[in-house]
Amino acid sequence: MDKRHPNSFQQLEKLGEGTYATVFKGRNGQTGAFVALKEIHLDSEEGTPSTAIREISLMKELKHTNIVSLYDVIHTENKLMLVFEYMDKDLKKYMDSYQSPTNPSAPRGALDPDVIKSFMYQLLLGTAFCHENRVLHRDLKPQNLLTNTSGQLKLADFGLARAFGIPVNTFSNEVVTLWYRAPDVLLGSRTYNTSIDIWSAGCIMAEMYTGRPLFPGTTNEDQLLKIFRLMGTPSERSWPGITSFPEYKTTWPVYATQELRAILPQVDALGIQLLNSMLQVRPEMRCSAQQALAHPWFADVYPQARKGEALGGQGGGFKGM
Amino acid sequence: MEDGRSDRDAREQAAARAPPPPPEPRAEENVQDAQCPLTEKSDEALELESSDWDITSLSGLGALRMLVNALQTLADAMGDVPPTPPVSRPVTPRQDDDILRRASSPETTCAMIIGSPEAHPHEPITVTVGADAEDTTVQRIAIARRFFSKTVPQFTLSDYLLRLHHFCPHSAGVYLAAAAYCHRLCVADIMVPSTSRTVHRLALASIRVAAKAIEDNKWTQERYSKVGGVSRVQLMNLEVSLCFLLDFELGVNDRMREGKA
Repeated sequence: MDKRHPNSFQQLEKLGEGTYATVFKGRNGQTGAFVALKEIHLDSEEGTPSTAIREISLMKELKHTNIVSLYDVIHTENKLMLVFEYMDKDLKKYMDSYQSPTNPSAPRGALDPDVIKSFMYQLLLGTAFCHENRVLHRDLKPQNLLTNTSGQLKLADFGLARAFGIPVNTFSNEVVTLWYRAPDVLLGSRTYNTSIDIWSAGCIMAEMYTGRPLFPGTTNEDQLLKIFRLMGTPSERSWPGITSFPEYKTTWPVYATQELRAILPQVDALGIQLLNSMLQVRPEMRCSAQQALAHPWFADVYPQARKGEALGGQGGGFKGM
Repeated sequence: MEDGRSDRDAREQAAARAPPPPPEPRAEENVQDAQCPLTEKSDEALELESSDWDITSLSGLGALRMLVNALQTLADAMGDVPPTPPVSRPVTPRQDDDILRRASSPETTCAMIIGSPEAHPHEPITVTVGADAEDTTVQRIAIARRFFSKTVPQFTLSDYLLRLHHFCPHSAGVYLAAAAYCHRLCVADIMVPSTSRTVHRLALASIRVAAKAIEDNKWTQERYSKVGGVSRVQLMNLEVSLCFLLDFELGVNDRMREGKA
């Protein structure tokens, strides 16, 4: 029976459970290298899940240092097994377990500025690569960013991603996990573009500084109000056309715009400037991933991060397959 | 200081521990309403001779007609090619037949059933990592068998797909991608011959996989398989088979579109 799998993988402990898949750690039987095995159950109710179809087809095209590599797809009786590059932790777990050694007074989960800069740079490199290849990720959040002990950060989970620029009628607006969802999507836009990933990236940057989500909303409406409380309630004057969005309400409380500086005192002036250009409520005002990468805040980013190389240092790092 | 911690902090802590559930793009019901206006778009199939046709001017129906024309031409040119017989057809235990019958659609009201596939329902297909070349070829042949109907369906491909479009419409991009998949399978890579016995299944699976790959809205497996005249299990098998034959290269890019035009 096992002759079917000459390149077999030993299935080790469970790493996590997603909505449509279970992820296990695995070991390549021949090379001994670790891999991540994403097991997707196939049933006739749904057929082949579109999340799996997208993830596989998009990740086959997107080969980049800051995007998790898909090595193989195995089909058995009733499941698909996706074989991915092994990463140590997702950014959420990384933050949850992190206590700054240099600054013991920093709250748990808050990362050191140098690490944040390096992670942000890599996040934007991966995002820019997706956008150049006409792919929207549509679910950037700490749980979908994977890190390894070499200090690398990679984009994962392309189950919600989709190609843009082809004549397809339907853009769902049930995309991106609520806390990282851009205001235009919350307002019901179906013509969103790459700027929704930039909004998510901005939310993630703020979260790395504080260890807490920037806008932890509970419902679509609550999420919008949390954003407005900080960025100010938009009006037809500040955002021409806002009244024609499906979710526009005349009953919104009118909040004044607050200074990000005051909310995030731990971020340096250039960092605030970058955050401001990513967290623009109007999508057309948000900077692109390329523009963000060129921001002077990144002038002193680790050179290894700039080149997409492993940062080394801790424990020799991960050896790829 | 500890006491000073507000309720809000505590709540946010709790919230931070329980992140919100992931989004579900297909859960939306009225996505179809957002269809781009079809008024200015032509339902006519564009002439395939012109190399610089405007993809944005094409409606879903127009694109479907292009797909039908291309496939029908291929099938007419090819004649009937029998499927390669399996290397060894496994003996199916009695029990499997029962399972299969239970799994198939109980409804017989479906107007256009395309019959049972030539391939045995449980004929093994295994596309695995690192399989050597010969093995892959054998696997591919086994997979290709799944696209053969035992007999030629009595209705034309055009009737079949127009009915499919009537009950489960898709946008132009989906039909063009499906056409590109068929082109790769039947012409470029010659993995499945396009004959009057295969085109129905090929088109059905291609449109389904293209829709799942590039469109947010999707019809339920139940509805699509019923309209397509196959069981849900068969539909799933066709989907997976197509994905593997195409090596999961399902993206639509300019190169692919040019190749087809």
